[in-house]
Amino acid sequence: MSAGPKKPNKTLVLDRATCISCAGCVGTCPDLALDMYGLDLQVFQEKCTYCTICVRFCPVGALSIIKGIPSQAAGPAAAAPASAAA
Amino acid sequence: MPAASTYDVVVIGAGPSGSLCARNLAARGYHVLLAEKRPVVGIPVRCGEATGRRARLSQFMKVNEDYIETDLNGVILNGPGGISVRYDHDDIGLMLDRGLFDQDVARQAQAAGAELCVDTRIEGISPVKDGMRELIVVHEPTKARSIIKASMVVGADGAEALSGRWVGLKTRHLPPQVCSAIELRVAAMDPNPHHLTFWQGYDSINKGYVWVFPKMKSGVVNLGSGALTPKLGEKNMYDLSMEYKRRLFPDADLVEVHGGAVPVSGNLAEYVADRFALCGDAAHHTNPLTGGGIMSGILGGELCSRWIDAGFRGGDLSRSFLAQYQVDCWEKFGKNHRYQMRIRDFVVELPREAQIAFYAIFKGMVDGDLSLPAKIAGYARMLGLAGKNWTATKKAFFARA
Repeated sequence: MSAGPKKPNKTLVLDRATCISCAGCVGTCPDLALDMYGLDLQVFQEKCTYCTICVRFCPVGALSIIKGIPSQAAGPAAAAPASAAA
Repeated sequence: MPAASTYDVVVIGAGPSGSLCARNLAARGYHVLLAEKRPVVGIPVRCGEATGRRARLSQFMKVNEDYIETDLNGVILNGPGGISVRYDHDDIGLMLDRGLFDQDVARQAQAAGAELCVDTRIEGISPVKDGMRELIVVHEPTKARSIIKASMVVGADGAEALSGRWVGLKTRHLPPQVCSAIELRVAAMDPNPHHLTFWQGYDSINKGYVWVFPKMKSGVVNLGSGALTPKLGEKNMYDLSMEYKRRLFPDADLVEVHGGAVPVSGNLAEYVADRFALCGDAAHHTNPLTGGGIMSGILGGELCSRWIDAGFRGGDLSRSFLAQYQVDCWEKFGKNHRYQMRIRDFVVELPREAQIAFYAIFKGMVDGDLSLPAKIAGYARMLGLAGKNWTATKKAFFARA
């Protein structure tokens, strides 16, 4: 697990309406910041280093990195807002 | 939840590779747990569902007609520049219903005596203590946790493959050596009901391909696309597949969308540890040219079970002993995969004109109407067109594994 200082002005956002639960991103993440619980993908914001690999990988474009921290996305395994991804 | 607290072997993931490994080990008398985190084995499907010949499959198991959708009699490959290569040959492969197929193999494992636990998620693996590894097991619906012990752990958890990372193996997908793939299940009839149809090259997608696979029994086609991890901002696979769907089957209903990661890096450099081994997609046993992983995953599972059996009998399940399993996989299919990976890199590196020349030669070879001088002239033309890229391609082709 890379422990580098966290850049506080970014958030990895998952658009749950678009996500097809393929779990492909889980294996691509270098920091184990993504995991699949049943058919629910969880994003662990505190582990994410914003390397964009999962964003590139996602076959439906459900993941994106936005600037700023939406209030709902704070804390571990928080549900990311669905509307923020484009 | 698992009935016992100690097992000889715990297999993580009830896909074809894991189930086959569990079946073989259970049949040899070991106490085996087959843990699957999803509620139903095989669902949702994350696969194009085409695989090798019936005769090949029957080497590993009794082929059950229930899960066979279509017998395949040929391949149509649409390359750039309007070149279409058609290859007809009886019995080149099968289309499966992966849901039923996975369930069938898991049932075989159960029949052989393995304990199958669905809804069972493994959350961590401890280092070896007194010849055992401890696993944290979570029952998904109740979130109840427990600890079980196993003399040997097999990670067959597919492309997600977190189990390898828990024991310190480098199993992460390194872009671009992983395919981002999507598949649309479309309620339509394939105009070529016994052929696999592919689109590859600059006119469709260069670093991957678009496919249409017929599933006759269910009356659907699998239309999908996959490509080496795209760069940021490039078109994603879903949009590409939808484009093809609109073009090929404009009025047909979309039944299902699924996708996933296809590891196309060739066999991992290292996928065993003390009392731990990976097999199937988790060990990147996938064919890097076609992305097909069912048959090589099954073979990987078979070899894995043999070496684990040998390890138990010899009382040695150390990393150095299990390394022989890696070597065995390399000899049986890894080498071939490495070779096919070079062909893939060669074709996708070619510039457009050279790629068209390549497909022209390929078509001539498949059709059998290419004379030797024409073949030589074709190669010369292709290499001439490849120009500067040739040096890079050559380097990629001859690079050591």
